Amino acid sequence: MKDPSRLYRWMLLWTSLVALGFLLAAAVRENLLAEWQQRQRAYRKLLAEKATDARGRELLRNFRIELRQVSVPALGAVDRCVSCHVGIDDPRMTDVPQPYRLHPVEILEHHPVDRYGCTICHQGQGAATNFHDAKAEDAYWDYPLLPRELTQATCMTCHDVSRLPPQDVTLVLEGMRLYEQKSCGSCHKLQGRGGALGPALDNEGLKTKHQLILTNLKPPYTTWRWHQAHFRDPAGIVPGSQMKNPTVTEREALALTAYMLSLRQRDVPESYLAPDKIAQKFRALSPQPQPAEQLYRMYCFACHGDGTYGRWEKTFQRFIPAIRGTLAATATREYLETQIAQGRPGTQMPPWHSQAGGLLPKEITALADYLRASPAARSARDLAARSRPVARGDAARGQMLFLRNCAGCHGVAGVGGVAPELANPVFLRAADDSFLATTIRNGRAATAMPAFQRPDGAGLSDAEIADIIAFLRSLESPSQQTAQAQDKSRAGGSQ
Amino acid sequence: MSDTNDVKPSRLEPPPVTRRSFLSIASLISFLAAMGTALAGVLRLPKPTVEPGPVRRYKVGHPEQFPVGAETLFAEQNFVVRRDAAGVYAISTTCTHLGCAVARTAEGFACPCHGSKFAANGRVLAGPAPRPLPWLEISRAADGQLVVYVDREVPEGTHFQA
Repeated sequence: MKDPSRLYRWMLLWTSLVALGFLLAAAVRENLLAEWQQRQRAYRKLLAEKATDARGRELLRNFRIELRQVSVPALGAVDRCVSCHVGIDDPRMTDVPQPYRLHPVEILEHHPVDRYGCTICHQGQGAATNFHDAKAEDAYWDYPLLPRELTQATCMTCHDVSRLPPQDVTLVLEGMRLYEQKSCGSCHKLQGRGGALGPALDNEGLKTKHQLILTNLKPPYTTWRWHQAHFRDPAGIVPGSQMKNPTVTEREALALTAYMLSLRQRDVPESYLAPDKIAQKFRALSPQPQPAEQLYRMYCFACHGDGTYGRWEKTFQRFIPAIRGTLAATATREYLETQIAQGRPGTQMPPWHSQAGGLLPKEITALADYLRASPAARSARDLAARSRPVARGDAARGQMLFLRNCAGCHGVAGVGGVAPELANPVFLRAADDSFLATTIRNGRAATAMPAFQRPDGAGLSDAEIADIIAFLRSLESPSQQTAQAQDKSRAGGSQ
Repeated sequence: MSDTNDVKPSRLEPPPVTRRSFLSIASLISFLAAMGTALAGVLRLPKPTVEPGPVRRYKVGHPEQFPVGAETLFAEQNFVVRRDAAGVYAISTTCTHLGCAVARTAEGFACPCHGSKFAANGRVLAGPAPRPLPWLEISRAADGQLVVYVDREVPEGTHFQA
């Protein structure tokens, strides 16, 4: 007769044996085969090889295989990197493979591991006990281990880049130079100064990959790989991006990436900040006016080029005007200042006054003068000198003329098309009649705006131009017209 | 039990182990072993492999920086490092009473909180301090610098031969 409990005994035996097997395997894996233990065993062999003198033997004798960690509460770091990188402070470990090699000495001298930890500079998952997890590239970790050539970017957490030895931060410095050269400030703000078309970049280095569009990037997904690919082809990484292709080489893309990573507003205790960093932050509170030429290069160049030619911008679907030619010659300084300070609502030209683009009033004046002082503007100035007083026109007639001559580009009722919007309060407020007349009469050299009156008098007559101007004036809102009329009567009364 | 056991076995002979009871015993033993191993694993959990707090281990400099007879105070880390003819040693400057930082005086150390007084070698001279200022372990790092372990005490008079 078969014992019915026999099956259960067999089941108990086998399940217990399997469970025991798993438990023992886990115990061995945890206690004998952990990556850091194998690394430390290998390191002990290295120590034994190098134990040729009393000091070496003492180090070998004191060496214990144990999990090591540096805990820095002030920086929120618990870094176990030193469990495998055991030789970082041993000057003899120069000819050994990683992870046992000596850390560059001059850096450790100023940044003792016990005070700084590792991840404040290198990023990565400090609490990991194997390299794969420490690198944290495919894990849900915000700041994976930086590649060696980009590690310099994190120096700017506590340092002012201009005060560091240039040979140590070559990539970041090159990236900074490229940022100015490529006129990134035309669209992006840094410390409140810059255009408004792109995002501000003050904390770009602390962005996580989850804040970026990764669809068109191949793994591993890291912010620096995204930046590098994005600098090479912005619209290829972010579909529909308005960002101009900065046309950079691989090396330049890497430099720009290093610069982006160096823009980090990490909150570290004051005692960790270098004095020059504090001075830099203090200086940023009260910006000093910069020379106009540099301002133009940084904040205007990306769209306006050198300003002598207008051009068709495909992304914006409109012409970008030439601002250093006829315009600068015919417009008054006040007109240019207003246009820069207020921008041109409805177009991609943002306002640049101190509350918006961050330029100081002095800088805007200097920029206006810089535009007017360009060679193209000087040669066009004699046109402006020939401006004649504008008679009072008839708005109804002007409307017919406008529809026939101007509406094709400037839109019916001046709402703008490929050419700028003319029914624009900022524009109409700033432009005086003689400026409008001169522009219609002579056109805008090197742009799509033609001359509507030839020197021999063919084309629109002065009276017709006056009619068009009267029509343009009628496009202003009634309140503005009243305000202007009051201004005029006040000016007339004082004469 | 089966009915084939006609002959009564002697009391001195152990009962024969049948295949069935062997199975029972083996399964029981392996079950207990598995539970025991699991229990051992669980019991290990409360004891961390590494302490979560910062390791209070400070590199204080190369031995040459501590000439014989000199004393260096590490105010932030709360210990002094001295060197005499016998070697280098470190004494904690945290009062053993309630943990205030003691001040250096002519005769040794004095605690500003409750008036404990210590001799230069850490022994208690006066006040509520229950025991002398501890001497701290010193060793040498791979780069030749001396390392003071604030959490590791050594008996008074232990010198490190630098």
